[in-house]
Amino acid sequence: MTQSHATGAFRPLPPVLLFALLISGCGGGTSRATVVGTPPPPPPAAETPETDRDIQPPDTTPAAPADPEPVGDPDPLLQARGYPAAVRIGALVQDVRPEPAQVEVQVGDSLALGEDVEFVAYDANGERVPGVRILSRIESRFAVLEEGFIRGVAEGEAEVRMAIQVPPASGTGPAEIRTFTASLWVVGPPVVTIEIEDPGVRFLTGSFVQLTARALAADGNVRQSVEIEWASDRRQVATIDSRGFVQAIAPGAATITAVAEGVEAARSITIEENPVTSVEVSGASRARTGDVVRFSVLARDAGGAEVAGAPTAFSVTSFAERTNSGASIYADGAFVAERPGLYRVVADAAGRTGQALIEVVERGVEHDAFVAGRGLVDERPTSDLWAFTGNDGRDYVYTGTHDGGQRMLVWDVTDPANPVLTDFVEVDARVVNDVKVNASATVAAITREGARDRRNGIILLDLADPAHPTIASTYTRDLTGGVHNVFFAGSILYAVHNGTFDVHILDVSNPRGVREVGRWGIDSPGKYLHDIWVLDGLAYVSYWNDGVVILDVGDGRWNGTPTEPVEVSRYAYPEGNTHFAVPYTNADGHRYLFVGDEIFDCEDCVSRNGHPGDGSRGFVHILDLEDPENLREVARYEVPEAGAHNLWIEDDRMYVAYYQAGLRVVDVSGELRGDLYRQGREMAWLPTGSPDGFVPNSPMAWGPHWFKGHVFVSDLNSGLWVVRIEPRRKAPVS
Amino acid sequence: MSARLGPVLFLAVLLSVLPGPAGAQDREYRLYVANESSDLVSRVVFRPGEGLEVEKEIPVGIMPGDNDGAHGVSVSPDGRYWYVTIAHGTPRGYLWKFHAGPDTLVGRTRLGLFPATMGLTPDGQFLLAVNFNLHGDMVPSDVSVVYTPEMIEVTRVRTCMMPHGSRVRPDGTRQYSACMHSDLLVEIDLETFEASARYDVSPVEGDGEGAVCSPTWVEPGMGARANRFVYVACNRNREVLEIDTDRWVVTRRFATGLGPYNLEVTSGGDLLIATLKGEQAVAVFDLETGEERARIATSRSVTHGVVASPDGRYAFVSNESAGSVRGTLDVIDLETLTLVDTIELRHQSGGIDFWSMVPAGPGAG
Repeated sequence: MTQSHATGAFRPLPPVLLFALLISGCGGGTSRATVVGTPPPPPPAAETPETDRDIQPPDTTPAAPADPEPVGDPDPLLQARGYPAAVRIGALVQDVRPEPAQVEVQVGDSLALGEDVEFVAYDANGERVPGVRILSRIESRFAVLEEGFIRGVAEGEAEVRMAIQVPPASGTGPAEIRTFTASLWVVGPPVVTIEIEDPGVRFLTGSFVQLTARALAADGNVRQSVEIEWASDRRQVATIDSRGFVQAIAPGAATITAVAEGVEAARSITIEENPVTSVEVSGASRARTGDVVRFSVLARDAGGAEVAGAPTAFSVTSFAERTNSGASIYADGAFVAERPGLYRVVADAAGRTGQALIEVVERGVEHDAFVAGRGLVDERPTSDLWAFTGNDGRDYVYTGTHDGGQRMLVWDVTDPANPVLTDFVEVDARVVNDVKVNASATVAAITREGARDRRNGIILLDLADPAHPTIASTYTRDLTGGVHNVFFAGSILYAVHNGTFDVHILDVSNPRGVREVGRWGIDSPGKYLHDIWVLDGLAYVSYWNDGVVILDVGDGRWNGTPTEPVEVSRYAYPEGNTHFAVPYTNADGHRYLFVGDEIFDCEDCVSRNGHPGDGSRGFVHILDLEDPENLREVARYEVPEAGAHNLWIEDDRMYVAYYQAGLRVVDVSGELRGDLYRQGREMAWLPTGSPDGFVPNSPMAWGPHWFKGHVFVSDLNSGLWVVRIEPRRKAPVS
Repeated sequence: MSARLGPVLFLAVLLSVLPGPAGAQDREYRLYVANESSDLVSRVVFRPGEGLEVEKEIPVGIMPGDNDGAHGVSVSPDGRYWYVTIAHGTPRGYLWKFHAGPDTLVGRTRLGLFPATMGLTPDGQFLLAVNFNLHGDMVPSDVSVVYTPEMIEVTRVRTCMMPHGSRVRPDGTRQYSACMHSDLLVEIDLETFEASARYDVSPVEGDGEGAVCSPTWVEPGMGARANRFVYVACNRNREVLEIDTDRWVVTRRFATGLGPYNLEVTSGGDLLIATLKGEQAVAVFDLETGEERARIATSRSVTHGVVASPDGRYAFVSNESAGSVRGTLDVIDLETLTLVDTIELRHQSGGIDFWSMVPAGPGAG
């Protein structure tokens, strides 16, 4: 356990107390009843026959403070009849705030209410008002308030809500609640080391160079949200601002210090006379929108010799009359344009500049999406799908159903133009959200939610006759909360459980003898698990507001195994709602992780039925996966008016079921930067609404699956779509 | 009505055209029913002699791609608002507040894991929702206390494992909930908002080895038994307990059929109605004599919730059903103790509460 903080005596929850809480919740021991507070009244003289139950003495739960009787106060509210004294006295309260005023708790530690921190009511004169009953709540991902203890969970600021009851202003009617809020800071473990990183450039007079520092805790983890204070010991040589920007002023030596939480690090820098007199910028002179073009800089001195190590920065402007935007250039010289036009790239090297021009033309990847076939489902909503070739040599798509669906539908799609519904599997569930088939096409797994007995779990299907699958087994153990998604990896099935919000790892080598062989989940209050994808020994787990987590489940580089995963990294972003993540390496060798949001509860979400939040938002975040330990978000694909759902990537094309925006097809070839939607990388789209759908004319594309030259798409409101993508016959504009 | 309700429907139609007693015949009874797997709340009107009609379906929940799970419904004592718990969340559920009648959203607030049933204080100021935590780890959960005018959760009271069946007794001084996995009845003092008593409802000696109560509901007594007696449904042990909360003793036991689940006591306190989830029926007990007066088959399986009209004439019963078969709402005439009408709702019809009786009469709430 980490040490206490200066602002209070912080206590972790003692094991004894935890045990006591558990016991009190379990009703264990020999006690039949425990009455807290006032002793029971004597029994009446005559009663109906009763069962022998004994009353135990009051337990150790602290009693409410005694009700004070305010005397002589002129406030009429204090004299209001019919309210408990603890309510009447609330009329005196002007403020409620914590004591101490600055509440800090360290991640993993706890504060005891009433000991380490107290919520105190004050009157208009700033005097304490005793006897006020203060109710408190913390609703935060950074801290929790449980059983009289505030526990720090993650670094950040949490809001404490304190409420008191007061008589109504009118003096009659129900007592009212007044609320007060205060901030609580959850801090990380103490900083023990500061590391100032090498900027990798020279400090030449007239230039700006940004320094960065990492604050490390004793466990070697980088502390987040730590404020670094920078200083220079020779300001006539070099200054440094609060953001770490060094301005090189005059030749000489200086020492830069970085201080956080009293821990200091120093770095000596040498300012050199700036020899750069000219700058050459080179890069492609022509590109398409969405192409990532690399610009490089060559700084030269007066003699024409190259000046190595000069700090550089880039900017870009447009020659277009109506806008000066439309392209971006990043610190590493990567340029990408959203709109065609002529752009000027300017590079600054130690205060000297050079420039280059680049002409950008339309990307010209427009294709057309044609409906090749349909499998209409008009009597129930459709959910996820899986396409495969059965062991009978024919092609199939299985689709799940939602909202009272109860079925998995079996489609023979050997002729994609004419999907034939060959059968269905009916189970005790109201939602069959996910359908997956193993690699050898011998077993399918379907998920259950909303079962009659609320036991849910999964069902494995025997695919000996893939046109008419049969139930091999039902597995519910510890999966009663319902399973939302599953994924096969050999004989292992990873199941996303709605109850524990952990990944349950099941051995399905014998479909009739399923057994749990492992379990993995993050430790985060309020965690919510939604999906999992496994490829080449790595699992990509979508953990909603905790982001995407990469697990080694057999890759081995991090010593993980299929049954004992090891966390490789995790990446969370402000939008949260991480719902789906798929890795992909494109033809040029770029490795990315495509991560989808699923956002329904937002201010911009369309109100369709008169209440907020039933229109979808969210987009696809694209993370650089070159180093799985260090994920970086480099690009996005965002349809502004809709929300992303599941996706599939094949042959450098990303197929996104974009809910109300239908199926979208996106060119993900080459390097990716910026917003692919705005760069003209979208190749085609198809609205999947239909007048004959379960909900007519309302696209709600759920999931795509590319298979043998066609894109199979499930739509919540209209069933199965078979889509063919073909180049647009009209020549692109250039 | 699209479902083949068979004999039940025939009986319902037959009985619905028979004349009722003066007063009730001219009334309209309205109530709200939550359909957990459709994320819809049905507003239903019952006109004796004409039958049931779904007046409106109100969509609730946020994510059409997931089932949000509208579980419990409660109407404020003054009838101006109704509340629905949204059980599933990501992961914590919500409480939604609507204007009754226009059925427009007033506000929302986030609660705990799988918020389920609610109880309201008589003044409507506080709502206490149990965080059922149905599918999570078996650890003690809590009761959320919500200040309804501002829809803010002001505190949580830790109670037990899988609390369910939140009810406030008529004088508004105590709230009760049952704990399915702790075999406890927990009382909360509504002045201090602290647990004031925990009562072990597990079976006594002689009930058989391994017997458990697994209580799913607690219903306060009314009339002469108000503010002292409560009734606890022992779902596993097939009985309802009458508990004297002044002395904390079991005063009577009512043997039921399979899976007593929700309870209702009529406003006069004379009848106790228990839904029998495992038996597709309700049991009606006379609280004076302690006898079971009738066991009435319901229209569909997984019989869930029950509420009585304020005039004590009718009981309205929700049936979840299973899979893609829709749930139903049944009307039981508490004078004839027969099922008089039924109507098909949406999927997994469960939470239910009474809204209005027009014109109001004796016993109107």
